[in-house]
Amino acid sequence: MGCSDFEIQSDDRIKEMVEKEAQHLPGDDYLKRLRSGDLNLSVRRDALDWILKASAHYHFGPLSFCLSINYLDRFLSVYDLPKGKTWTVQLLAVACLSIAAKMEETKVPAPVDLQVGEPKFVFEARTIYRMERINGGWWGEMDAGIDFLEFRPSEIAAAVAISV
Amino acid sequence: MAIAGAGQLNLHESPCWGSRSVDCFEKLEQISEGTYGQVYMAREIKTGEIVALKKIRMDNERGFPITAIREIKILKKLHHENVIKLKESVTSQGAKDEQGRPGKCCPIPINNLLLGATKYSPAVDMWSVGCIFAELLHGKLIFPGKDEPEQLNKIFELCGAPDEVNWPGVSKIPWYNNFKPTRPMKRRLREALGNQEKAPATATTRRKGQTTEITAFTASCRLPPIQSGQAHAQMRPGPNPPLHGSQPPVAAGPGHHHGKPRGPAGGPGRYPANGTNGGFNHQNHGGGYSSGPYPPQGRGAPYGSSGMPGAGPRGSGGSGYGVGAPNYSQDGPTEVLVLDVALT
Repeated sequence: MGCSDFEIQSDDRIKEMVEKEAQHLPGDDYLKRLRSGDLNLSVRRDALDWILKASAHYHFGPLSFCLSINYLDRFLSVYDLPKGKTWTVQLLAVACLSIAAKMEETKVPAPVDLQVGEPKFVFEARTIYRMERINGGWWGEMDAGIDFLEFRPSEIAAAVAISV
Repeated sequence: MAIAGAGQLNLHESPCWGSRSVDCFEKLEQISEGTYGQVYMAREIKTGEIVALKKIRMDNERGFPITAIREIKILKKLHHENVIKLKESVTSQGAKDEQGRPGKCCPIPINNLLLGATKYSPAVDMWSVGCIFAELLHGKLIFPGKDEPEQLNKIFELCGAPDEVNWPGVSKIPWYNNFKPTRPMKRRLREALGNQEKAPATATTRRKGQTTEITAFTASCRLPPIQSGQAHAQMRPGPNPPLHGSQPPVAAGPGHHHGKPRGPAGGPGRYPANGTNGGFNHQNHGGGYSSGPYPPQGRGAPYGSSGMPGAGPRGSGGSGYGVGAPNYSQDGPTEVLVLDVALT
């Protein structure tokens, strides 16, 4: 990917984007909780691995990928999923990817069909659907965050990182 | 592989964070109803503010409707006095939605699923875009039908009667035989919209070249694909020179960040290293507007679960889930958009 594809942004615009990004980050203590084991890092990693696999399978763009991880992290940072039930994180991952794909992709498979790559857990349509609505009620409320023509710095960085 | 049953996850107790309940509003009257759901005039109880409430029908198979997601996304980006402002989305707990009806919400009041076709697809969006362009040129509604039959008739009068030649597969669409025109109707879109003198001031004040381009664009749209899949092939070059005649139907062009490189299944890698095609470059889906048929692999079976390349059943042992019953009764929250609008 060539960085030259991006328009040169003015300093003001970069500043604005950085400020805006701050409004779309997981909670302040999220990283600490992941490190301390309060949140299970390996479960998150599995979820991310799966999202990457499913995104690749369906040829989703980097924006869907980054967006779904952003949703996942923000959800985990605010909301306590039941401890010891790792499948809840996988369900969350499916719902996050589903919503991100609906947000960004032209071809969007049904949520159940997203579950490719032999995930440990597979969910029924209505289960995913409920999770989507929990998620949906939330992201519908927030500023969806992603500009049509501009990307937040972390997205650019992440997109570059996964494509080089 | 484990399968988590729906009952294991107690989502009833889960909060919909950030989302207020629709009970914060008092519905005053229904303003309209369409395939997308209902729109109500409502008053926020606390502030007395008058808003429009748009109820989104949930789709049992596909979860949160993609059309609603796109609508929210787009409305949040638009800040203009003439564009309705999305204030917030609220949920209604325990409400029963219409059952067994696929959720369709269209951002514009254009009847874009015709003749009983049920598949929402990019082709349907193309139709809507065409309609809006035509309305901008025309300066008023182009298909002002009071009901579906009348609206269909207006479409046929302008676009010509659909038949197997200009719309392969149309005779298989559920209500075709009930609504097909009884007399032959010629396409007269160009006559109706092509004349710049008739175009509204906003269009005529454009530079001549631009107007011609838009006119060409509009006039070259045959009765657009309304269903999906094979219907794309019936987009043909119109009488006017194609807008991007020199481009292949799916040309990759730089300059737009939003698109993603997309190849046919099994095609080149997801992130080609090549500079011009890689990254966020826009892939010109729009080549199909005027430069000929969509390539078969370009826009196949949009949103179709079975039509995705390589998306078949998930290999072995993956059939443990069931697709929810069509009439799955909805007892969870229903999404409602609150729109800030000056209602008269």
